Amino acid sequence: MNQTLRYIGKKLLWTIPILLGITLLAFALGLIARGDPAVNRASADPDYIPTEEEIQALREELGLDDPVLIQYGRWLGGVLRGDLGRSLIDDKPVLDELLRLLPNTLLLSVLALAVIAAAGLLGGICLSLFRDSFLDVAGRVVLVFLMSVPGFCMAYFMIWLFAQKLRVLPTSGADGPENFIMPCLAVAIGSACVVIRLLRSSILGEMGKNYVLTAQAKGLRRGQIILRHVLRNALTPSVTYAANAFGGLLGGSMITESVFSIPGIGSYALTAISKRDYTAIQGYVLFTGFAFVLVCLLADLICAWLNPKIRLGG
Amino acid sequence: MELCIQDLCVNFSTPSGTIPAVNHVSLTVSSQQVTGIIGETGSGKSVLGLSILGLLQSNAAVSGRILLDGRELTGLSQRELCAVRGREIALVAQNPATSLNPGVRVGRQIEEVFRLAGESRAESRKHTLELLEQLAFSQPERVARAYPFELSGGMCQRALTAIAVAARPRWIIADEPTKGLDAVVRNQVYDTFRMVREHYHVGFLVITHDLLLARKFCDRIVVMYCGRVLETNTARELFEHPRHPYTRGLIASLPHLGMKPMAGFAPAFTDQPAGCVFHPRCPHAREICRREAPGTVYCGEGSVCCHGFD
Ligand SMILES: Nc1ncnc2c1ncn2[C@@H]1O[C@H](COP(=O)(O)OP(=O)(O)OP(=O)(O)O)[C@@H](O)[C@H]1O
Ligand code: SF4
Ligand SMILES: [Mg+2]
Repeated sequence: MNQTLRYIGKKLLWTIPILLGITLLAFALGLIARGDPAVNRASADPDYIPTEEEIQALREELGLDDPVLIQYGRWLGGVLRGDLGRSLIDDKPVLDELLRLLPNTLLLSVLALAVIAAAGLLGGICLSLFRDSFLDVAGRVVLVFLMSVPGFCMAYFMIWLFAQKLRVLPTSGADGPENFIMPCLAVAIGSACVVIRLLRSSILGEMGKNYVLTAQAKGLRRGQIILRHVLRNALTPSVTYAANAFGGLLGGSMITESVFSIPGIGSYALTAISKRDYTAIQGYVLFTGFAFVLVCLLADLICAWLNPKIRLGG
Repeated sequence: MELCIQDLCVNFSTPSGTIPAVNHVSLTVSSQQVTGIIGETGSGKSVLGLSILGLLQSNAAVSGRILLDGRELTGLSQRELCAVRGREIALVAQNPATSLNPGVRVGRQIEEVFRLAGESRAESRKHTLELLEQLAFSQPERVARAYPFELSGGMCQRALTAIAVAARPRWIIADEPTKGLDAVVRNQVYDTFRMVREHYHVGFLVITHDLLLARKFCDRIVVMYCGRVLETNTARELFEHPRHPYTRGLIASLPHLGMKPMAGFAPAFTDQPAGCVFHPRCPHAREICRREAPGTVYCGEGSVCCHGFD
């Protein structure tokens, strides 16, 4: 128990420098890209040409002559108080905008993760249970095919099939749960196929190990052996992969969100990039970086829970 | 109770050819006696043991018959075999450290056997702790909560024995139970097996390189080489009057008998010599040995497969 707590503590401590690194990156991005904020601010009124003195005064007011480290500290203080700055385009607070759009992206990502996990487990277990049977061989061919179709092709195909031909699902918007079915499948199918293949091969790899022989000699059947003994040892690569996919989805799927007109974080970032809204981009980088680190941390803890050697072995 | 192996052949098909890992083996083993199978590495001992449980990999082709008290095991379905495994014939697998599931607590792995036999969770917990205590673990609770990598090799070996014993089988097949253990722990394994034998009256089939264990623990010895049985006899006779030149070589390589290693190496399974398989290494090889495979000759309580005894 103590060792487990120590392991968790160590992991948590490690995320601190990583998170700091991300803030540094986001700050540097703003610093490099946004030009001279004093000039920008002073020339907000296009009819007025500011004098050199006015710009200098503004510069002092904004603290732009301070050393970079102090500016970073001031900016980081703002971040910690929940102030990610205001959009350069519409002057709205970046954090408020991100939080307003988050629920849609979150819903999409969580649904997709559920699909990836369920399909991955079910598929991986079934294929390894019936290894080398027709189901296994045919299943693997289909998986490779599905994996090689880009997400947006899948999206257009589904729109054509479900929205235009069968007319069972809406094409766009984020009004109800039915709006999320197609986008969720579009972003989940590729990763789900990868997880199925990963899980199948790691289960079959584990099946060759000595402890499986002991389990067989107890009189357990193949299915029982996979579920009770092999699965937990075989899950690590799949958990890591699914966590990566989920972390990526939390940053918003730009293409899928725009294909299905879902107002989410991905479409926010897409707009920000096209309009060179650096404060917004900065906020987005910060947000997705943090989300990714936390998801990876969670994945590490799940893997440690599955593999006692990781959490107890120091 | 009798385990009867009749003309058993196991052929593995591999990309580099067919491997006859067990070659026309016939044996009758009684649970009244502890039987040891000895032989150099690669002589097919483990394959023979696993074929009894029907646990060979899918590239194995098995022919011949294996009878447990007259019931044929070779024809059983997987489902029927599952009922035999553990309950009638249990296995203490090779390599104790890797033969336990690294991700599951040792206690759970033993409990599982009791649960399979239909016991409730509480009963199986209680029986697990009792069994661990009986197997000379001084802190059964701590061991039950431990993961395999937290135990020493000897402790893993005893935990594996606990798994094998739990369902009260009539037979235990132990594969290399003393491999990789130091002398003190090897003695513990011997003590454990003696206790299990006396307490549970199981028939033992011990597969081993460890001739000292074989001599101490076994009543009867089977000598294997290249997938064939070359000699069988009571343990006492075999160690005092070995007949087959191969057996004599094995015994001469024992540490306290001069540790004279046998000359030569076992041939590859894909390229076996004609005539007697042992002739390239045999100091007594004659002309006929190169041409004709010797038949098995029975005399006294034993048998030997060599032209010198025709
Ligand atoms: N699934 C398999 N496919 C191909 N060859 C195999 C397979 N299993 C075992 N063999 C071969 O069968 C031969 C006999 O192996 P076995 O494990 O029975 O030897 P052993 O007498 O137990 O040796 P050791 O003392 O090293 O355990 C070996 O040459 C081995 O390579
Ligand atoms: S048959 Fe010939 S070669 Fe083989 S063991 Fe006997 S004497 Fe040696
Ligand atoms: Mg072996």
